[in-house]
Amino acid sequence: MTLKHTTIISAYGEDLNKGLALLFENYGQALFGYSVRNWRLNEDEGYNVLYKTLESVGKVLNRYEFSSDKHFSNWLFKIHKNNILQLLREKRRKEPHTIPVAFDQWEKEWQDLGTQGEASSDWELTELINYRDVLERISRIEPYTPSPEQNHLMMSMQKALLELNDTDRELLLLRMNDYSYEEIAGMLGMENNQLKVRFNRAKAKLEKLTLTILKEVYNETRK
Amino acid sequence: MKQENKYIKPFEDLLRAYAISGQMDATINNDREAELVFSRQYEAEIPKEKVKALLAGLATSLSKDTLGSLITGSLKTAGLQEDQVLASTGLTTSLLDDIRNDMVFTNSIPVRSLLKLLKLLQISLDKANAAMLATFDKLCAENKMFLTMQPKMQPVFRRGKAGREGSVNVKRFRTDESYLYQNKEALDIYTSRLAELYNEK
Repeated sequence: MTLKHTTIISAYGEDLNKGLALLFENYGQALFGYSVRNWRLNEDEGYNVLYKTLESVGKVLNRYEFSSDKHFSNWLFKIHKNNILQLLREKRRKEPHTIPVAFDQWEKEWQDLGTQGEASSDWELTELINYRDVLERISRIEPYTPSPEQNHLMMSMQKALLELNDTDRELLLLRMNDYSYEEIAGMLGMENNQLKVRFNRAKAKLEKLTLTILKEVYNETRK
Repeated sequence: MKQENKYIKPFEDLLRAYAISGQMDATINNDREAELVFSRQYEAEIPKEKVKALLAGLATSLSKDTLGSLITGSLKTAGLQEDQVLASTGLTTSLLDDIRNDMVFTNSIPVRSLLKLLKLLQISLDKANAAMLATFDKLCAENKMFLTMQPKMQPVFRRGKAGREGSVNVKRFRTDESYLYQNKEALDIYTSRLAELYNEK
């Protein structure tokens, strides 16, 4: 059986137009659809990022060998996803979107996590008040613009994520990649029915861990 | 006008910013994600006329000569033996291979050797400059790809593309992105020097 990717690479080597057409035919619309559906890019942005992906791929395609079609499609997808994330970072940096977040908005989210996540009985709204100073500080951070404050925040979030188990961590990140619970259930090989509850629990845990780590960081820097 | 009372989830917004930073993207199983993306149907599609424009634009951009393709084509046309080329230019066999396969940033080639090669093959400076820039873009795209991808996802170089020893010099893949800009600056300096020498009587 001829592998899809070897057909594309060999066509690409013989006739650039034919190779590009095959590459697009097999992967182009899915990559475009993914950028629009999961990352809410508009048609022009989706077009531009796909162009960038196919151009980068086209520059190096005939230099490589892949072990399987799966290897090839993973590689292609990863390049595309990196390009999408880069575009989003640049876009958000250009359009700072910090909006003043009032303490009651943090409270509302926290409270909802408690009820939706069916949190244990030790779930206390008063706990959040202990982090009031931290929340006021991070409410002023522009999360897409590099700065020491933003760096503290992202590092704390990373440390907190690493303290979660693999499934909870992947669930949170996949949800932030805008996959539906049904899709996530398929990817993680789990039942869908309790996934939303599990997401809320994991998010609550992560929030608490992040705020605790940040509080320690701020206390350290104050010394 | 009534103001929309939007429900803001501050922590979720920060978590999304973290996801967009891509810092922990490696912990997501790329295999399963790619499998899902390439197997599902999407409502959004690029309209047919835009697909044509996309493919035409790509074909134009990708058909530009790189230094490797320019040298390879010119060597074929000139019908020179490799020994002759090496003797006239002072290049080593492996460096000539790297040039032909676009495996080396141009500013790493001794400038006088490249000058001799261009003159020997009667390649104009304009053509050479455009080709050197295309090679630079190609290597930068490759650098970025290797730096942002887990090793298991990276492809291997095809036989014959990695030099005669069959291995790739990975030293050129640096982790600092500023390296790319320094190289553009280095390439500009290099091409200026090449132009001076090329135009000397």
